[in-house]
Amino acid sequence: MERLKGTSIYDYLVILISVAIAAAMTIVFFRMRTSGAEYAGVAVNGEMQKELLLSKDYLLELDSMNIEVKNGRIRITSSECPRKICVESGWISSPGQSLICIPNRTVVFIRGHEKDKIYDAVTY
Amino acid sequence: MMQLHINVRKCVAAACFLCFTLLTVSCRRPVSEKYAEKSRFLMGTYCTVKVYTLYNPEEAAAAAMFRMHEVYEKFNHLNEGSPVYGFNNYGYPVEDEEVAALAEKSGKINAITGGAFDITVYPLLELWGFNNSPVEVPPDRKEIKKALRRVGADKIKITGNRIVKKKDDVKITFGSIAKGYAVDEAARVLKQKGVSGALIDAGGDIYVFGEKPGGKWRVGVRHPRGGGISYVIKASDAAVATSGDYENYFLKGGKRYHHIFDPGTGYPSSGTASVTVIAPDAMTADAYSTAFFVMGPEEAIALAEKMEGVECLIVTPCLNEFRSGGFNFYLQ
Repeated sequence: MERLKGTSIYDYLVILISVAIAAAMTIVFFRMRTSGAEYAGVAVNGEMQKELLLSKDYLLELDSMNIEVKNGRIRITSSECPRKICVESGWISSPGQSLICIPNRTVVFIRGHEKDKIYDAVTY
Repeated sequence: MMQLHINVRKCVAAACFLCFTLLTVSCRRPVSEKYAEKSRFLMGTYCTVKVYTLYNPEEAAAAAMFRMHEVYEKFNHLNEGSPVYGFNNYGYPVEDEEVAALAEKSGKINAITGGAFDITVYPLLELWGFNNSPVEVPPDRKEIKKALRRVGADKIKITGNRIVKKKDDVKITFGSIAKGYAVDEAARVLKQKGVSGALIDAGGDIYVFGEKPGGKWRVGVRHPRGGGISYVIKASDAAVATSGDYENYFLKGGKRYHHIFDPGTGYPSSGTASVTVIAPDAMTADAYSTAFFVMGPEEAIALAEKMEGVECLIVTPCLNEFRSGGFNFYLQ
C-alpha cells in the first residue's frame, strides 16, 4: 500500500490501535445494554433472601411458601397466606415482573435491564 | 525513533470523542439526572416510588413514601390512633381538616354517581368479613337488611372540618379513595422537591408525571382472569387505578363473593369483573374505579364520557369489554 506523504509505519499503528479501542468500547457498551432476564430475586420484609439463576431449575423452600424456577420462569407454588393470590398469579419471566405476597411480606421479582421491561408498573 | 504527526493526533482525539459520544448518546436526559427507587409494604399493600431528578432522588423517594405512610395512618379505620377509628368505634366527631375534606369530596362523588360510591359501606364490609376478619360465608338476608339501615351518605354530616354521626351505628371507611389521595400527596411532595419525572404505585393505584429515559411511563393492566397483562397504557401526568373482583373474595357454592359492595342492595356488585380508570389525579381514578364497578358498564361509560380527562375500560365476568371513547389513545 502506498503510504500517505509524511506518515510513518508508526502513525498507521497508532491509528489502528485507536480504532481498535473505540470498536472494543462500542462492543462492550452495547453488550452491557442488551442483558435480558437472567436472575430472579426473593425478598422478605424488604431484605434479600436469595438470588436465583433463571437458567437453572430450582425449588426454594421458605418458611411460609415454596418457589419454583423452571424453564427460565419462576412462580410461587404454595403459600400459607389465606387467599393464595400470589400462587394464582402463576409464572413470571420478564424483567420488571413480580409476584407479591402481602401477608407474608414477600416479593419475587425478575431482574433485568430497563430497556427489556414491558411495563414500569401494573394496575390491578 | 517513532515520529507522530499532527494528523495522527487528530485520529486519536476523534477516537476518544467517538467513545464518549457512544457512552452518552442513548440517554435523552442530562447525564447528571439521577434515579432512585424505593419499595415497601405500606397501606396494606406493596408500594413503589420511582424518581428521576437532578438532586438527591433517594431523599425525594423516601419523603414521598413517608407522606403516604402519614396519610394512611390518618385514614386507616383499623388504626386506633386514627380519627376514623374514634368516629367508628366511639362516636367521636372527626375534627380534622384533611379527613373532612376527603369526606366532602366523597360526598360529591356519591351524588354524581347516584350513590354508587359511598364511604358509609363499612357495616357491609364487617358483615361480609372483608374488614380483616374473614367470614367466608354469605350472611342471610335479614342481617344484610339490618346492616343496610346503617349505610347511606345521609347518615353523616360534614360541616367545615367536622364530621358527626346522624345515626349512632354508622361507620365510615376511606378504603376506596384514601390510597389514591395518598398517591396524590406523594406526587405533590415530589414536585415540591423539583422532581422532573416519577411513578408512584400504591398497590396498583398509580400516578405518573414527567417522563423517564425512553419516553412515557408504561402501566400494565392486569387481566381479571388468569393474572396476565391485557394492555399496556402509555402516559405521563395521569393516574391509573383498577377495581377488580379477583383480589379480595371468597368462593361459596361455586359463586364468587368479592369486596366491592352495591350500597343499594348490600350485596357484592355483579356484572363487572374489573374497571380500569385513567384520570388527571389518583384520588379520582381510585374513587371512580369503585363507582364505575358498582354502576355497571352502560351507566359507567355514559358518565365517564361526560367527565373531562377520565377514561375507563370495563371488563365483565364473561370477558366482554367496554371502553370510553378516549381510552385507546393511551394504549401502545
